[in-house]
This record gives sequence, structure tokens and C-alpha cells, in this order.
Amino acid sequence: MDEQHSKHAVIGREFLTWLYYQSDSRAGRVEASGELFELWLDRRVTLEDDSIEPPSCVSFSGDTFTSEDLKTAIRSGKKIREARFRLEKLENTWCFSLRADRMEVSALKIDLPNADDIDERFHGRIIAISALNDFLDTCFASFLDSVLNKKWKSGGCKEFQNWLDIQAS
Amino acid sequence: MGLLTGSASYIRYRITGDVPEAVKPFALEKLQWHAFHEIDPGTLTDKSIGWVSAENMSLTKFDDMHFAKDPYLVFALRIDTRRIPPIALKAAVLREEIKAKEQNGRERLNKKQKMDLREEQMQRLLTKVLPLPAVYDVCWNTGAGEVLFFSTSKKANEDFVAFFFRAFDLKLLAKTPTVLAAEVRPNNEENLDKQTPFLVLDNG
Repeated sequence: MDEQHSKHAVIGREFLTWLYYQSDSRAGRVEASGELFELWLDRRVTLEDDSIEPPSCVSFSGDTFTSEDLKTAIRSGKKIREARFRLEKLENTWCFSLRADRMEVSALKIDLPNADDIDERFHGRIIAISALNDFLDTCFASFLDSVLNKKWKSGGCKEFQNWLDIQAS
Repeated sequence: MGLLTGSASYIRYRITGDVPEAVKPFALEKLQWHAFHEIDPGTLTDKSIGWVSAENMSLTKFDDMHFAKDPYLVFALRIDTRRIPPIALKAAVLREEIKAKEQNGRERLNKKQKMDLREEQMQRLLTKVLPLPAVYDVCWNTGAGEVLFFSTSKKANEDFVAFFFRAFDLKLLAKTPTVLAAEVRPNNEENLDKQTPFLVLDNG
């Protein structure tokens, strides 16, 4: 991994891990731009610790893994490299995979009726895609506000650690 | 695909450089100039790249503004490639090598003879291989200066960035985590460099 890619990857993976922490510690309720969303991991997640050679990686899929499995992996130094999420707001649902290293959205399923008119279909889908991008940007900004805050080490980071420890007990 | 149908996979780009104020006529002209052309079967061309309509991959003439859906410009990148299956090339070269040895009464061919035979067979087979089209949707938000490219393939994205620059003379910058960080919270690059990683665990 080159230095530039590694820099992207570290921030992206920390963001995805933080996003999961936000979702799990708040029973799925995540606020963005003053609006309440529900965000859940959706049956697929890969965590990796690339600070060691060779990188140590673990993937979970289906219904067989628990929050505790993920926290055990995080405690061992792994961060989320890729995850599938389910995002809901009122009647809208987005299911998508987010790859941390390049912030790629993949396999996005938008819950919209397939309009016959192309313009109508385009506008419906681009509004949904833009709403997802806005949500991710807002969450990313919140992540930066948290971790760049002077009190992060004494406050936010300790809360994150507590969240991990509570599950461990 | 993915913008108009099915599940969508995409990478976001920021446009860097000066976009003309009259962006629609500018885009129309560039789309026309760099529209897709099918590979002529009689030629040895192995790749063709160009813009097509997002609504129909065979619609290669931009003679109206159907691609403009304010504030978006919606079109697609089509890349046709002709690739000879390696095993087919190997079989053809080996067959011709046997023939050449028989004709010349020799047990071995030199390196140049082998290279010439390989080149001949590549050219012969290339004209027989059908081009394989790949189409990727593009959505340019002219208000936000953002472009969505609907593929996460590394090669397709490299081709797209290079062709977008060739066509529009505008550079694209992928919204990676560091680029996005500079966009949503500017002037924090030094802090980010110094303080990463943030999620430091106390395992003691």
C-alpha cells in the first residue's frame, strides 16, 4: 500500500469504525443535519489491521455474527475496511456497501418504484443518491468534529473505549 | 450502469479547473467531438472509447440536449475492447510454427521468425474477434461541481478520468477520505496528519 493510499485508508477505516460505534451505541439512531436516521450494519462487514505484516483480516456475513464479535475484532486492533449498511429515514431505505479506503459506495439498492418515464426515474434516483451522499458527508464531518476536538482524547475516545469495555464484561 | 436502473456502484469526483459559465453548450460540443465510434471490423483497432447517451448505448450522436437534466448532465462512457483469448492465440501460433518448420525443413525457428508468426496471427485473429462493449453512467452536477462515475473498477475509473480530461480539459479529483476531509472541514490537514489514528485503544 503506498503512502497516499495508506493515509486515505486510515481515515476511511477510522470513520467506518466510528460510524458503526455511533449506530451500535445509540440503538441505530444517527442524527445528521438535525434529522434522525436509522443506520444498521446489514449482514456483511470486513475488518482489517494493516499495521502488521501480513495484514490481519476478518470477515463476517449473514446472521451468525454479533456486536460482540465485531468489538472483539476492534479491540484486537482491527478497523472496518468495508461494511454493508441499511439506512432508513421515514419511508426511504438505502442498502449499500461502503468501502473505506476510497469511500466507494457499491451495490446501492434504492427502494423506489421503477418509473417508466426516464426523466422521472432519473430524478427519483438522483435525489435518493444525493440524500445518501449528503448523509455520509454530514456523518464524516461529525466524525472529524469529534476526533479533532481538543477534548477527544479525554472525552470521546474514552467513551469509545467504555463502549468496547461494556460489551466485554 | 446503475444510475437509471438496478443497483448502483459509484465513485464521486470533484471537478478542478474552470468550467465555462455556459456549461450546457460547452458540454454538448465536447460530447459531440468525443462521441463514441464503433470499431471498424476490418481494422486492427483493439479499443474504442467515447461518450454515448445514458439512455441508449447505441445512441452516439449528441444532436439535442436530452443529456441536460438541470442541474445535471447525464451521459455514459462506452469502452469497446477486442481481446483475443490467449489460448486461441497460442493454438494458432503453434499451428503456424509447425507449418513453417515443415515448409522450411527445419526443426527449430529463430526468435524473429516466432515473433513474426505471433504478430501475423494476432492481426489475423483480431479482425475476427467481436468488440466487447462496457458502458458506465456519468452524472455531472454542474451546480455542485461534482461528478459521479458509476463503476468502482480501478481500470474503468482510470480510463474515465483520463478521457474526461481529454474531452473537457477538466481534471477530476476522486473524493477519497482525505479529499473529502479537506472539503467538509477545510484547513485541518495538519491536524489530521498529526493526530491520526484517533481510535487508539487502551488495552492495558
